[in-house]
Amino acid sequence: MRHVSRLLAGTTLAFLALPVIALIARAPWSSLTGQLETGWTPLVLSLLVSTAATLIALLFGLPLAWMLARAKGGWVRGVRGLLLVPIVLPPVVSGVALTAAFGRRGLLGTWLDSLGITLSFTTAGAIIAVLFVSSPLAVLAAEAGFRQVDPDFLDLGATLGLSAWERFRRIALPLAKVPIMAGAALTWARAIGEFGATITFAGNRPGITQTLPLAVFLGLERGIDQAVALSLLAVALAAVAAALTRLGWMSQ
Amino acid sequence: MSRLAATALALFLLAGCASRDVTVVAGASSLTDALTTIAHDLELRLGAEVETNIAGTQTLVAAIEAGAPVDVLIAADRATLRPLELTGAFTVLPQPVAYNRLAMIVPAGNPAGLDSLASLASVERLVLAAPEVPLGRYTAELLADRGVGLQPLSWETSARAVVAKVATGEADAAIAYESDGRLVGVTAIPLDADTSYWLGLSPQVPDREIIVDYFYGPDGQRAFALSGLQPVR
Repeated sequence: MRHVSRLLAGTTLAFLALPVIALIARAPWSSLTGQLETGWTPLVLSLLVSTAATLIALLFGLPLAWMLARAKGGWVRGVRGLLLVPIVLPPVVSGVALTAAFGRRGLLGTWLDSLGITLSFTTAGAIIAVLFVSSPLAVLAAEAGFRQVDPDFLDLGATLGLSAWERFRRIALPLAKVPIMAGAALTWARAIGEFGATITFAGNRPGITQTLPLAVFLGLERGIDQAVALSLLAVALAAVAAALTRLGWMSQ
Repeated sequence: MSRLAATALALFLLAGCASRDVTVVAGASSLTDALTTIAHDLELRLGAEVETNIAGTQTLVAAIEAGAPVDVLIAADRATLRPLELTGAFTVLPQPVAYNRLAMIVPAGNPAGLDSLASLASVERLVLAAPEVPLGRYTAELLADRGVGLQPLSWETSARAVVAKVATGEADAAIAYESDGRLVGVTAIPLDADTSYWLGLSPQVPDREIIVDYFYGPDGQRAFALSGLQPVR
């Protein structure tokens, strides 16, 4: 039995590692710099979009996480289930849903359009797309973190005369810092890889909404070498994202 | 643990059943409607199961180059098939198998009253197909030919995505295939520019003649017409 489980474990590792190794082996090393030239703008855009989405997810998500962690009652479970929806929805469906909500003829989009705000085909739209699919990760991780905060500390803070905001800011936030950071890293990583919702909602506009995964997809239409070269950039980014997530876990 | 193993194995084998002996017909995404009819007709003629695989022509060619089992390929242009011809992986019939036309795609009823290629220059929210896909290549050729320069907001990656952007109201105009103008919410204004579909066959395909006769014959041509394409005769 021990041999069998070793075999299964080894197979799993090999299965997960092989495609990435094959990608690196397949890379057109001799013409790499030329092939990569088209990749810088999408790379910078990906970094910008993902970082913006992560920061917004924290700003708006932490209060929700804090509220969920402190609330009692069945509705909390309902909200938590709702937060899973954007994570499990096929990304293209998310893109269609975002169009129905924020598109020019969308529920909210019609009103936004009358104010002169249009999100589709803009960088803001690309940020909205990745924010929708990735921000629940930040909220759920932070909520788990806030739940671990000992209520006694908060009570102590209250007796010392700290306001609710100060208890959140000076007690809960520092104590839950590690899971929050791990959640932020996961959010960023998911945002970096986002394709379906972005291309469906924000379109493919070089320098504006064409993030790295979109560039890889179009590179595939241009030839496998171009796609593989751009994919190397994505692998490098994924390595950074994985390292960030790992750092978050290790300091726990 | 053993029950888990048995279930996993059974699911895997079930999923692997796609590799059994069937004829695979792959077609460009603008043929989505036609392919259902084509698969049905071919099944009757070949007496074998026919599976369809629908994607952008370029995606299909890349998949075949990487070893995907495809017997028949209907491509939205000729140029994209060239790498398959060069390696001998596919032979391409010398005549197109169907025609389509480029058209301006506008919201239903054409509220902005666009009437010519040049009038698209005034459209702020215009989308075009990316030059990497067949529709994008046809579009670029047409624009170069007529000396019209257009700056789209977005370069979409398939004909259907182009039309969807107009149908949802995100874009006010686009250039796509005339046949796509039959989709809900849009109107197609034909531009005088033909596009052609080409039939590629794998050398391994059995019943080659039956397949070729079908596609160029009345039933195959009728299937294309159902998708809004123009017959070759």
